[in-house]
Amino acid sequence: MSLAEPTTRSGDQEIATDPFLLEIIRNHLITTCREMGIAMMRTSYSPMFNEALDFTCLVFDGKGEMAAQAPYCPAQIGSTVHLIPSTIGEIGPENLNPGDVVFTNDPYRGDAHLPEFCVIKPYFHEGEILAYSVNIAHMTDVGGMVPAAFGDTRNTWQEGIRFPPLKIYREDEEVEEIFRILISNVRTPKHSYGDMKAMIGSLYLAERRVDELVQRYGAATFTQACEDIKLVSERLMRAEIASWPDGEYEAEGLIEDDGVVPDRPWKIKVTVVIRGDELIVDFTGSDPQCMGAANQTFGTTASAAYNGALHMCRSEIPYNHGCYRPIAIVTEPGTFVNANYPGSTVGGNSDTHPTTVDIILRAFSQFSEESSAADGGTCGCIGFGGEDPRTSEAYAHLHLEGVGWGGRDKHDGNDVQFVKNGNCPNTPVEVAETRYPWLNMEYQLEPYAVGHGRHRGGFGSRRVFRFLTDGVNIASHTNRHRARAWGLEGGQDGTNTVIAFRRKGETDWVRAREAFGVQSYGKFSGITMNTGDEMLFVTPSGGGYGDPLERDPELVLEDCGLELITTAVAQDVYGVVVDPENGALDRAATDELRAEKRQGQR
Amino acid sequence: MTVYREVNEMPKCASCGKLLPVDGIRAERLGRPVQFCSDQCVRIFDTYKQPKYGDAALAGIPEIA
Repeated sequence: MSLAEPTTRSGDQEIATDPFLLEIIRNHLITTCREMGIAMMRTSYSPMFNEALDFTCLVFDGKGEMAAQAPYCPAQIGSTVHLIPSTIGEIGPENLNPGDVVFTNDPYRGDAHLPEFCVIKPYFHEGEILAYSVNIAHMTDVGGMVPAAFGDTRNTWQEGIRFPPLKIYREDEEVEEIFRILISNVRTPKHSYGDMKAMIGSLYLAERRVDELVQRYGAATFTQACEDIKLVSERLMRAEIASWPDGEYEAEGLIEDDGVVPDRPWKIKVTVVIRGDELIVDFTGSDPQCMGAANQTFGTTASAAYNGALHMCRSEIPYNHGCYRPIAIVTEPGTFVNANYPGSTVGGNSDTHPTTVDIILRAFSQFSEESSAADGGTCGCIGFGGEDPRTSEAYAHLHLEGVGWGGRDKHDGNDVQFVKNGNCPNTPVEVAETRYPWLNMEYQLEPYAVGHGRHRGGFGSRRVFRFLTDGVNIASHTNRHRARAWGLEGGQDGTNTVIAFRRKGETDWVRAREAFGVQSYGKFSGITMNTGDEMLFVTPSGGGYGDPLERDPELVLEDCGLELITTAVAQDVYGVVVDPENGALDRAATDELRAEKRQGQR
Repeated sequence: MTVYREVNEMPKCASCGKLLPVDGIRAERLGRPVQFCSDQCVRIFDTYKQPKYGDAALAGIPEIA
């Protein structure tokens, strides 16, 4: 079977597979992807995989189109729509043999950024490729100038080692030379080797599961089912888009800086075009590519477009290639949303992507109440590296952190949740402290700081690290230190990120720009912490949705009781009066105060 | 070793801007040869991008060697 030309429109074709059998096969494939992930968790070496779950497992059909995915990282999932057919096409399916595994991490070829290592294994049946199992995962360290890649890099060579599509397994045998090149270019060779083997192991697992289907139902039925799985999703997606009003909806937003040029914000502009059952997400008008690492690759931008569109869907649509067919992307190469080689892009996938999604949602908000205010807009990517005195071995760790999400029409924003481009849990304190030379002195919700609204944003977190050894090398690529998550429909903006440091024995926190002379509060590298030094990390809250005066007074009271907001804020912002004696809601005084405040708004 | 092409030597789709490591659909638009990654992108270029942006529709799209 050869790779297909990407389909323009196939939603009108007849679904040939029996609907019950179709559900069985579809769910078998989705479960296969979940099982691949569980295998990854149990066999990988790095907390990025076995705790933060920064990976995605998929099954593609013989045409190189996605047949199934499990709900891991949306940023990775969207990029594979382009990366997988492109990679298979470049290698040539005719050059693949049973037992081969193809590997790439090239951000310019469709990958989201350099640390996303992608491995692909063809499944052969009677000499024909019927499917590909795919694993794309965020490798913690990829060499380069900073541990764990994130900082103020200016080009791809500073980011780390780049592999164009190549075979890392030939007929079930490791291509030893490739592994040697890889592990000799990273700070954590044992972990990188183990993590790669975990990724590849999951491909073999998926191959067995796909083979079970083919053996049970036959190759023809399997192939037809893959087609029909995509058709069902395409129909559902087109119906969803068709329910939206035709038109062009523009929005734009800013990334506060690139870590290289101080105080220079970078604009992302999006025009969402709805034409019947087709959606165009057009990024024309976005700024030129920046000098730092905040640029998005094409794969990241396409993924953000899919992410935004799928957030707007009210119906349950099985996610596969069919969902993406009705969505067209328009970008200009050489811009902030489609960086040209050798531009640095590592932060674009992690920290620009969430804001891109929020800008798309802002465009959707012009006609839909399914949208939301902006979220905290940063993954909290802080890289730590050095030598652990307990083992005398080098370590590299990428810290991720949750933020407050934006309020929505019907709900408050989530608290301390990873931004919309990933589903990554934080690494538990106990795991981090066991594996790395630091302690967590504080870890809590950051109260009193939030975007107020009828539905308020979610709260961020506050964490203090204390380092237990000298020479901890720190780099960061984070946002919202100056720009804030915006509110919607009268909701207030969220609050900022704070990263600050203090040397042992000092009492005042000092931010990186003032303490170390770097160009940015959130995008920097080369900061060294020593024994007893501490670092403060406060993540941003989400924007509010709707007028705070319309918030249910009982919810305001509940927030006061949980010490998330003060009674003064309840009164000043929400017009809710709480009796200082007994902490009860004073309804009469609240009604009177709200009436006064509304009068003042006119 | 076979000839290795670096990514800056490869064409990009005239509509979506995606890199094309393997040849796409060859066409001519605005008086110059271009490539598209799919039929969908051909249609989007002809019915949306070029009518909206005119000569600027190929901004940033590298010339095909």
